[in-house]
Amino acid sequence: MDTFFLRLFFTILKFFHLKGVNLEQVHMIASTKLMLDRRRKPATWKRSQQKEPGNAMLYTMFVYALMGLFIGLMIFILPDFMLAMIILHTYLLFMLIMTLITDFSNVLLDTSDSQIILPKPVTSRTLLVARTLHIIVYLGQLVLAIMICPLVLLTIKYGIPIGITLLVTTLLTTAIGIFITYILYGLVLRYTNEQKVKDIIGYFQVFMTVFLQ
Amino acid sequence: MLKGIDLQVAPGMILGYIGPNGAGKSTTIKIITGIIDEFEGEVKVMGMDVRKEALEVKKRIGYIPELAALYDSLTPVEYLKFTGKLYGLSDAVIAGKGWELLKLFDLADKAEARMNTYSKGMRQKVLLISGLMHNPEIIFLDEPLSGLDANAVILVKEMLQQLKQSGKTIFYSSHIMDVVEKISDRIVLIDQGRVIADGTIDVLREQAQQGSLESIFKSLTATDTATTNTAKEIIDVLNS
Repeated sequence: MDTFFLRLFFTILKFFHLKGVNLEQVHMIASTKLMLDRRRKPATWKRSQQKEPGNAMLYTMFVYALMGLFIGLMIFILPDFMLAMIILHTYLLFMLIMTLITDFSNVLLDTSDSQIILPKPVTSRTLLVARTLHIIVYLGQLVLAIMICPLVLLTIKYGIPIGITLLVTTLLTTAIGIFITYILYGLVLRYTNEQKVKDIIGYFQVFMTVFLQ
Repeated sequence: MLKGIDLQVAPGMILGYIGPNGAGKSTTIKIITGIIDEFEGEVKVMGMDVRKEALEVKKRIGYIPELAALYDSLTPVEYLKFTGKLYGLSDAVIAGKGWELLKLFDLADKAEARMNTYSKGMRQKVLLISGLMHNPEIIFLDEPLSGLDANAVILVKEMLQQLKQSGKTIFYSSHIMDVVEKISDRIVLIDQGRVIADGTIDVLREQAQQGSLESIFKSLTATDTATTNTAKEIIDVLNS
């Protein structure tokens, strides 16, 4: 799944002709980071399952798609369109921010990168583009998993134009989600230290685990 | 951290960079290799400013970090492909050279295992390979022998000598005098961000005898009765 997204966004990236960006390096960094994602245990992974996840990302996506199915069925049943949309977008925003904070925090606040990538001949622009590409692919998978069922059900009930509109509002909600997460990190880092951030992430992880069980 | 390090290093030699814990060894290396770019002063590698021509400099240097900084859920083959690609090597070169080197470092049978199952010494070997694979002209080593077994230590020492003979410059940082004094052509001793001695091992020993460097030298060579006494005191405290 992520290789498909990577190929898609990478093809788009090729059309931009960015200056001072080595596309081969961008692809290598982004694909390696996605491989690390696949192998990282999600924070909500049950402790009883001691063995290494074969593809942790796929498992997370499956769980989210399943939950999306329930939400989708709910809006299918709800008679009020406005209410259904409010619930759906609130749910999306909530899931997005929670996942960004719990699972993606070690990507956003990665320090081992500097030791590994900075001594290599990689420009800071290349690194920035590679990181952005990685985050976009990651979020693409996540949003797809959360919204696929509601999107299909909504299109069946209200028609294709509404379905396309939902696609647009989904992208906007995602943007807000990223924005809120960054503000949150910014605020916490501004007023406290790194240890505190890790504690707060810990609280969120406990909450998410309870929520998902 | 650093309060004035002025060094000129001639090519084709092994420079031992030594100092007690927290003296600023790693910081110096991080500045030269471009990990830290906020500093005052001027650093030039092969005549190129490390901040202005960072890319050119980084292509020609190899850096082997301490503390096994690598992505440990990758296998060594994947990791070498990653670093090799960043240095602009082709797939064929990476696969060929990488495999050959893994074999020579005794890692061939574990090449498909993820590195989070690796010991510290095995990770260090992977870091050595990844830092040297693009055949750099200057090599920075930060505690390269930590965790290696006896055979690998001898192997690496011999490798460094032969690299020097083929004209490479080696910047070897460590806090253990033993190895440094055997392999280095020149030793720079630093403490608290300052260069306090600079020369061959004989010059340094002479200075140590005169007393100016005595205490710090002892803390590095550690063949002193004072350390025995400290050890004894620690054991006494533990037993009390």
